[in-house]
Amino acid sequence: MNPFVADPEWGWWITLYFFLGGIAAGAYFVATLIDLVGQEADRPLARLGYRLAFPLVALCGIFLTVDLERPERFWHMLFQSEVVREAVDAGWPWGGWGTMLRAAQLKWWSPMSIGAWVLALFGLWSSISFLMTFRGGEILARWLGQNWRGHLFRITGSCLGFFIASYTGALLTATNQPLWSLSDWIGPLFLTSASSTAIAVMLLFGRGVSDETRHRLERADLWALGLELILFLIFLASLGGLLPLVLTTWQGWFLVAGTLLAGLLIPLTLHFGLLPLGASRVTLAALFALAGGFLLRYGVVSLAPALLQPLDMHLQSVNEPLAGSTPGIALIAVTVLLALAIPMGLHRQWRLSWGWTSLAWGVSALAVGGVLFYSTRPTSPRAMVPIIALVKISPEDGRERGGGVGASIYNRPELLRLRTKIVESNK
Amino acid sequence: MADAVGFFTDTTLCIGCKACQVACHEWNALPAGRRKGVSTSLPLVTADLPPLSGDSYDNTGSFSDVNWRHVKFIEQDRPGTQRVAWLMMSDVCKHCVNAPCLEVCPTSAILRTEFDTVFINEPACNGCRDCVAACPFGVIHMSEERHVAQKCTFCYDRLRNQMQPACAQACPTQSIQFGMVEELRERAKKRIQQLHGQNVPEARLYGEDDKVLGGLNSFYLLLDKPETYGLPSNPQLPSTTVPTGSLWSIVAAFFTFLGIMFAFRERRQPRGKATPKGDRP
Repeated sequence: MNPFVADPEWGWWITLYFFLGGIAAGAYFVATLIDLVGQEADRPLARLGYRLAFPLVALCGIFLTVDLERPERFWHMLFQSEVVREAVDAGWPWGGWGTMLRAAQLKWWSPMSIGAWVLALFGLWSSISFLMTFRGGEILARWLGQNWRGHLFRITGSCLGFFIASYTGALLTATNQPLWSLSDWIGPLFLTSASSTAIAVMLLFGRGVSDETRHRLERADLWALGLELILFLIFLASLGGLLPLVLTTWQGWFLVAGTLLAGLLIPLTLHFGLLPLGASRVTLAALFALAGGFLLRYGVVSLAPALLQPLDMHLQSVNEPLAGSTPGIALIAVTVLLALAIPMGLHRQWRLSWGWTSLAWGVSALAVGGVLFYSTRPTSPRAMVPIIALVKISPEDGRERGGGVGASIYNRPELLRLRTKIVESNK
Repeated sequence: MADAVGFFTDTTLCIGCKACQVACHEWNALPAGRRKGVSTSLPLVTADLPPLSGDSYDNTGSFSDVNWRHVKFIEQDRPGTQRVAWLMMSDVCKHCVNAPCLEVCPTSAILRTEFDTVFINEPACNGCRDCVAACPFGVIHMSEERHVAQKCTFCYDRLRNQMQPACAQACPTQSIQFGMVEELRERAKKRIQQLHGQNVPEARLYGEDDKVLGGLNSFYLLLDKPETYGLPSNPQLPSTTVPTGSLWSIVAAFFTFLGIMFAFRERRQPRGKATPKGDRP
């Protein structure tokens, strides 16, 4: 683990992007699934999903641009500026299209680079789906309606959405920052949180839909929350010996207690109907799930800089197995308890048959297994599937000294502009 | 592409004079800069610190947008005595053979030069700070004036004009040695042998072989473990985390898809009647 890094100062804009981008992506794929397998009565909910997705994505684009130190250069993520200049000189957009196509820039091994492209594409997809929910978009809606073209379009959009929801985690992991670079589970955790927060927003705004639809949405929420809970517990275990240190910071408590209680356990308790709250039960569950989803993003993003100083002081202890510490024992105990209790709760409160309850216990056992796997060994980030970690996706990986440009495939040193004291005539 | 150039920094020779830091400021026209506190949380709070740090002779504290070199003063208690020993080291961008910053840079503003060094092409940088998060050595910082990423250029302009980097030229003790990496590696190995022969068994090289990020073009001779000098033993190349994370994300996406699909699929009987066999709430 590395406390010697600098803080990238990814703050509120990035946290909000992770949170709202997740909701947008989640809303889009829930809407797609309703369109694919849902009933006619559920359609208004799908429409709500599409109407949520695009405005949120647009907002995310603005947040990301504002967060840049040079916002006017936001398009440098997608195009090489000097080739664009060539294209403009060649008369683009009236000509020079060949040059413009060459100007595109994509480094698929860099989450931020591919994320910028997918965000742009998801913006396009969600804007079309957004337009189709309104009066003026009828022609589009007929062409991309309940037919193979429409299904293909929406499934593609959902895949883009799934990508947006999870790559934000991969973006954090693909660094050398403490906590972020330690766990492979931030991406999948953000993905499941995207679905639970999106369903929460749909539960809040979808007041006009039928009770039947609301009931199905609540079932979907139960699943999303359950999955998120499993991944969150495995994520905590994957932090290994860093977890006790995480709990010495208030950001750590925001993350662990905030997400676990507000984001997961309280909504699950409410969905189980264990509290006599009547009609406000679902609304309250949705509000808590949203708060938890935000605390998850806030906690993860703010923890890396917060851990630099404590980590510098406790560099040795963080490699110890988690199970040897109090937080580790507590985590294992909580996981076992929840793994037993939640399937039982589903059986009693949601009339789950014994067959499905057994399956739920089986899935819970996976969570217990995951937590035990990580907490009983010295902290090692990529321990679970070491073979996949050997896959090389970047030209920089394995590059040798003097071995070419590596990952800077758009390298054009002849265009470098230098700040220098050397006068040209000296050459 | 020409052979790699690099620095071999022999920390046993460093006397902490900071001539390298001054030469770097001088050549690259870098201002003195303010010393800022470390931001610890959101909202990002940084405060100006007094010009004298009280931390040994180190008053710049760390790398910054205007400190591309940083001389470290590490005070160590000598066991059994009341004395304190100094380890001194002039730190700089490592110009990694597998460079994390260059790998993640989404605008390709970070380039590999013909000298195998890593260079930030300022006009392309849009200030996303992914390189800051990626660098395992805390080298890169954002310019407060130009709002682009800043770090050691390995004096690219001087190299292009057959001059050696300003810091290496200024170093009065040959602690910072500039040259072709292969030649420097030979020199470093000889120096290690010499030190081991003089009963300094703790002397070791850092970044000379390919173990740290494929090798560091700026590598070090240290007298203690790398962490003592604020250097990570095992930094990672960002892209190596992507396949595993992607695998779990795809698995999670599949299960999310499955669960929500089950929740919304057609049901033969309306709710309120007997629960259908195999029904999931």
